[in-house]
Amino acid sequence: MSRKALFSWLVIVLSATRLVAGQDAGIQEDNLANQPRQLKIATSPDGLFYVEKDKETGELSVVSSKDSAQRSRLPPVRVKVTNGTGDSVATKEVNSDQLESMPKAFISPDGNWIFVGQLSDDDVSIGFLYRRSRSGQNRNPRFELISNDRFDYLAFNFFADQEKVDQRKIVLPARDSNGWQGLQFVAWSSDAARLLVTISAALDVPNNSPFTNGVTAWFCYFNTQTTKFELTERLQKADLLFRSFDPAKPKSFIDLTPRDAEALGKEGPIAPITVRFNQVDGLLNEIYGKLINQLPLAAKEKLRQEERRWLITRDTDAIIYATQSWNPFPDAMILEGKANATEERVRDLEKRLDRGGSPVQSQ
Amino acid sequence: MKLAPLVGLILASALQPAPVARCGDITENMHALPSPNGPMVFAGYPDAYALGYKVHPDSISPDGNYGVLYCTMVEEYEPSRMANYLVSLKPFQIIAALEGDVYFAHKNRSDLSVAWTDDSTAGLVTVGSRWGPGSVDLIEIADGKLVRQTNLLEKAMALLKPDWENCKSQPYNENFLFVITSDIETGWTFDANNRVRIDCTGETNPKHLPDEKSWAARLEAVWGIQEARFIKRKVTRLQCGNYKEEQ
Repeated sequence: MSRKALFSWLVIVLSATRLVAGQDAGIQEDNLANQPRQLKIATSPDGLFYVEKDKETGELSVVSSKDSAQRSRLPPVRVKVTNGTGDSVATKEVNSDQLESMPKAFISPDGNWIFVGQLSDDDVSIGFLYRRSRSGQNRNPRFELISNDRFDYLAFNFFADQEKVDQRKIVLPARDSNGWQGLQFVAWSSDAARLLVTISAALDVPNNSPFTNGVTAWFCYFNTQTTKFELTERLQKADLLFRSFDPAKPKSFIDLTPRDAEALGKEGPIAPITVRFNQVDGLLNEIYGKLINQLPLAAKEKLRQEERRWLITRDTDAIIYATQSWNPFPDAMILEGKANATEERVRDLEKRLDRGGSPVQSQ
Repeated sequence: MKLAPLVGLILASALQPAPVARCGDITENMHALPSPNGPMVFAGYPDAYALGYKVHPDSISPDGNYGVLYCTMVEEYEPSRMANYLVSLKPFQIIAALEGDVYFAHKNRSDLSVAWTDDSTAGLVTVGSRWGPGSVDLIEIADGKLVRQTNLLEKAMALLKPDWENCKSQPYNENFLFVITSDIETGWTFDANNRVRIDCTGETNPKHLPDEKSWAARLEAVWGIQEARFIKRKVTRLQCGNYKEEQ
């Protein structure tokens, strides 16, 4: 047998072996051996780069989507972690890369900012904000920290300044906390000019203080153009009302919850989501009623069945919407998701009504 | 060109498993984030499902088409936003959020199990709790979609409730009138006709402590899937009064 023939034979046999081995791996195998070392956290809205975590070192990197060799590390932050209680409280300092929790990266719509939120080892939600550096404007995206201080510290400083609270009275981490504490991401504005965050902490203040129960949720913006924190009328109102926020009854705050960040020049009050949902739900009932009245008997039953299935889809889409938004107050986002799905359903049924009841062909 | 290095190369390649799609891949975050229900809604944000959810290994249907997704990154997720989802595995897509109790990784005294019909058209999703099932959700699938889900535990408890009322015993606690103390695997099963056979016990005092008036009753019932109602039911009182002190 010639060398060439032997080589071809080997290729055929071994390729077949590989195929069978792969199939044998089957559905039950929990691909431990094949897991990639890198974990993709988020992709920029334009798809040009993504943030990746090295599972072994914990390092976060920004990687070009076109060429994964084009990568730069997101600088870690020193994090003080408090452990223990009473006299045995110990504080240590670690790099954010070394924290056990999963970092979550939120890339701004223009791709120039990255907020990274993470749970510290003492269960405080912390954050870091990066901006694209001048040397990172070309193919190789590079980002730098906006400050040597942690972003959550800056937000708490702003809170203390605005609400005239002594910074030393902010207790983080608090014992017996029955919810999250620290800083949470809420949203980027559509123009990338504002990052909306909310903070929560216990406060060691007198009983007559408006913050006797601590800060349960205090919203503020970081303006990426002025690189300063700020409050708009919308947030001032929300912050005032959220002083009486009861984590056990989040649904009573649905209409007061900021669900998005105001773009510059488009500031305004929060549009109550229950009003929007009730309106569109009423409209859907009206159109559904008209449609079902004009259908023959067999088609009526088919539409009823379709409507029952659509309700399951609506509720599922709403939960997915809330989950993917990462808003720490999901009830408002669930209702917004339901309103979105219902508006789409109304459009679909309206078209059918125009066509005498026949289903709209999917695109 | 020397043959030996080439053979080595081919051998090395052969020993690598072929890239087949497996259920574990779904949430192991490949370099293409899975998009469960259409495109990502929030561009630039992390995909919560890719980062923090997995298909439960005991939930996969006999035909390999369906499974149940649960949250594994518990400390990162707002509890009220957590859910279990019915998913199709080929291709991966969320079909529906399930309505019963939510199971998540490391949940205290809890587990998730799914009993499927042989044809994978229906399943009983059970989330265990301290004394037995915390919820039993009957899911029915047609054309790859969830067409109905029924909280069977709630229905079973409704059958037992009149007997508890007649006994006038104390409730189990301020949240529950009584608990269901059946074996999850044998108490809630499909029979040969794909009907659900239920054999469970309702109890106000599962520890059988003697110092309180207690009630217990057994429910034997059959739920018809097509009929969407109980087609057989029998409640047998087991206890109404104080348990005797054990020697």
